[in-house]
Amino acid sequence: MATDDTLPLLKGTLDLLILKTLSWGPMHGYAIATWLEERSRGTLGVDDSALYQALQRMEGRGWLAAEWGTSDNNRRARYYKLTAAGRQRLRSESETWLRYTKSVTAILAVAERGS
Amino acid sequence: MTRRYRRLVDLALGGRHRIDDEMDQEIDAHVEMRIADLVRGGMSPDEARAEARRRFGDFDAARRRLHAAARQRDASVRNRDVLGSVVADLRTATRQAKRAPGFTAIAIGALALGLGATTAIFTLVERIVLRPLPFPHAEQLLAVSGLDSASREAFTVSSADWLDWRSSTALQSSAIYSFPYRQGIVAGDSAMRLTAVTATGGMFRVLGSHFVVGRPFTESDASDGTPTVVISERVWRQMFGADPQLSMPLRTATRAYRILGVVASDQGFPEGVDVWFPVDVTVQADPVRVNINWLMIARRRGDVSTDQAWAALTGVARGIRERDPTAIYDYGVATKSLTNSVIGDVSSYFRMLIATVGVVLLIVCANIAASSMARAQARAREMAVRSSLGAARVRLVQQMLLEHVWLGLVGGCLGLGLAWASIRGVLAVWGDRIPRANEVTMDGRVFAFALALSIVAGALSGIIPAMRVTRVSLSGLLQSGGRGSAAGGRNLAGASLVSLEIALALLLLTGAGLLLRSFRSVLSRDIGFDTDVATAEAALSGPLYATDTLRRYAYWDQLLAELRAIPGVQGAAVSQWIPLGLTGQGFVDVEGRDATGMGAVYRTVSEDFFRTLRIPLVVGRTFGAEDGSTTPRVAVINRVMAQRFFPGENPIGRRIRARSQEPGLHGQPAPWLTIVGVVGDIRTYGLESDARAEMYVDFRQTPRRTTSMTALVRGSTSAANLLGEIRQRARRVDPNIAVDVGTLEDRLHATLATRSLAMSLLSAFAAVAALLAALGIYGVLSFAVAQRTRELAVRSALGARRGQLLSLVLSAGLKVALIGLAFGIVGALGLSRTMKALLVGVTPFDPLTYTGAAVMLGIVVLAAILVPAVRATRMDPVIALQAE
Repeated sequence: MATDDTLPLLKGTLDLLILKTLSWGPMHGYAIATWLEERSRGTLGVDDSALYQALQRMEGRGWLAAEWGTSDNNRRARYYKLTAAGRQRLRSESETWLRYTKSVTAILAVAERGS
Repeated sequence: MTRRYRRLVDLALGGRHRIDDEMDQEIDAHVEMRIADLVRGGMSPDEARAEARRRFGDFDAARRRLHAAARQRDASVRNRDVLGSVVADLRTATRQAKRAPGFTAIAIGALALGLGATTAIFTLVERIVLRPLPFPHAEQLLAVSGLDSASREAFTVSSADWLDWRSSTALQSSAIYSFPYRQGIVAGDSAMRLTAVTATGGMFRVLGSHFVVGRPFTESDASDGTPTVVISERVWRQMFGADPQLSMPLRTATRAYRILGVVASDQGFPEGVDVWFPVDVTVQADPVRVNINWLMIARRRGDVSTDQAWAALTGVARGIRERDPTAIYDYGVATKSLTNSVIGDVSSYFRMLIATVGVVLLIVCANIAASSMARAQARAREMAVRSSLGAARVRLVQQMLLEHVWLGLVGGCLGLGLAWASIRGVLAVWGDRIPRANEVTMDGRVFAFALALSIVAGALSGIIPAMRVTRVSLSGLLQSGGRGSAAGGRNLAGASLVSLEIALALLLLTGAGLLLRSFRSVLSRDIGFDTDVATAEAALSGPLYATDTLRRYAYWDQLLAELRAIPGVQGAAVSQWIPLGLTGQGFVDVEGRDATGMGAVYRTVSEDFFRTLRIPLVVGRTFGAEDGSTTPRVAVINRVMAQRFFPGENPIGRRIRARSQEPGLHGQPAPWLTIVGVVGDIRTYGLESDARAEMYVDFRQTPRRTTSMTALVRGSTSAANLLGEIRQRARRVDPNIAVDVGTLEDRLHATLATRSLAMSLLSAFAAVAALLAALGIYGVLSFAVAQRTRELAVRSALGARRGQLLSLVLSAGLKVALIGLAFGIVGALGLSRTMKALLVGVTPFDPLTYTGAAVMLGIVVLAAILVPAVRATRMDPVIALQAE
């Protein structure tokens, strides 16, 4: 699926996307990966290695908690869920992100009109 | 909750592998699921596997990176878990503390007292006893002296012995120095007196003292004849304006000494000396080995142990002894670490004190444990519920422990303040009588000690309640409605702890009682002379006095005349060595006998000495107008000397002589003195030591001994009131001669300082211990009464009389108290033997002290028992039953 029109992820975005994904409920790593692929319709290139790196880091910071469980098709998998700190983080990060993109979009819109 | 602890266990069992495996499993699961999806999408299994791995980039490198990431994650999760639970427990602890302010305040107060006392004593012991002297490689420094034929330590050495001993290869360097004396100094147009010692040139090389400016003196300075001197930093700053050039000399009345260097403030030795004069004892060598007027310090070689140095010096000494029969202090040597010789007997008191504060702290811990356990019975329900909700026991123990550690830390902080204040207090009262007092400060080590001790004390007081309270039978407790006492055996542990407290408190009270009785017995001793006497010490120096004997007599006569003219003065005399001060000692021979080998204190006095000090005449006469420089030489001796030298004989008319005592007469026989009288004994070294053999000579017959003397003045009012007048009148006689004034009473107090300090501290600690024990039994009984409210109410409702209820509670309390007292007496009998060295006039098993201590503690404890017992009988059964 990694075609030429995949967009490289901006730094810090992956954390936010994982937090958002997990806000729907506990998921294992593969589910997070496919969920992101489907929602972005393949436009975001998420390297699997980077995904798991991010999961370890975020668990270490206390935003996520993980537990072994059984998947739908009876496979043992490590399930991640948001902690209270993670939820807090998601809220503040989303706000920052939205404010940021809004400002950038506004500037770009002005520039386009000018050209 | 258990997960956290499993993690800890995993870590101990090689958690790295487990974490790597876990990560691998997670990656494998991911890859498998991806393959399944891809195959479902139409890929061949091989292609699908390759694609699934490709999505990780370099698959093997990614796996390694993820292992590392997982380990890091695990470590930070674990840290946060422990930290999180500790923080949570501390928060609970604070909440608990707020919920029970009474218990918390008492516990913190008790801990602050115990920790404060322990920290204060630790600071004193660490600074004074444990820390080596502030010289480089202080452990190599030794105080050396010879042993007599009975292996008794002489403490002082002769220069002749030192000259032989110093050649020992075990020593890197050594020196001898005089006892500190007061030296008159001329500064501008006023005279003052400083404490000085005369030392051989190597003194500062032995010590390795740090110099602020200049250099120490050396052997060549000592021998080349130019007057030189080393001064203390204090004198340099106060008298010489901290002049770095050292351009001004130090002047005495006779000479100007070039200042070679300034010793840094804590680097001088002995303590308190301001001026060091170098001397070369080889120039005018004193060949007499019995003249032990010097103190010796030595630095052993770095590769030689103290024992080896001792062995080497002993060899040298025995060699001398074999060829020289006059070498009566060469039967061996004593080598002590210089630190120990400086501290002296203070260390045995401090050892006792540190044991004492340890016991006080133990009582504090037992006290908190007992009351916390009583309290925790009420919390048993909370514990049972929490445990039923899945809290592991270890987690509950941690919480209880942290609650107590929290108390310990708060108490420790307050205790530091207390320690600081009490050290200040002790130094203010006893500072000038405790060795190394100027080195006492509270530093990082003290803070670290206090912190560690706070945590240990907190944990110690928490461990028993924590173990007991968390061992609850859940079903039993919830069934009983959580009315406590479900753990059975009605707080047996609490009662045992209180018994222990009482036993320990009795131990301390007995020790304090024994010291108190010793102190009283010391004070009740007869010192043999009147101590309400003013002293004025003066040294005649300057060209006027140095050579002219008549001038010196004129000065003393004028001074005595001035002093006698003070209104109300009843007696005035001068003496070369005064009681409670330094003494001169020597061997005394009796005419017509072989050398006695016996010594006596040798004192030069004016005729009114005995009348002024009210020393009674036993037989014969004292000195009078009939004795003068031209009349036959006479002596007065004391009773001890009469009994020792002339047992069963009449000493009057016998002739004695001190062996080579007079300066400048080394080796020459001193003239014979005829004994004309016997006077009463005095304890010249203070009340703690016995009277010595003493001989007195008339100062008019010993002109060489009249340069440095002390005037003694007895008035009709307290001696302290005379001091100003004495100073003025002395200035009138000769303004260039400075005098040090004081009283014999002050000197007497100084000799008792250590004992009184130890006794005061031990009494204070014993009182605190008794109070804590009372608080402990009060707390436990009050709680027991509160717990048994229902039972007591039912009994009362069924017709039990007040007296019956009272005796019910009383007997429970008395049993605990009596067990404690019994164990306390047994313990005290065992331990007081170790105090034997400090006891005077009382045996370690003194029945009066034991009874007194037990009765006193019994009364305090009984009062503490009565309050809750009476409260139990005042209870209204109706209200009590409704409250349930």
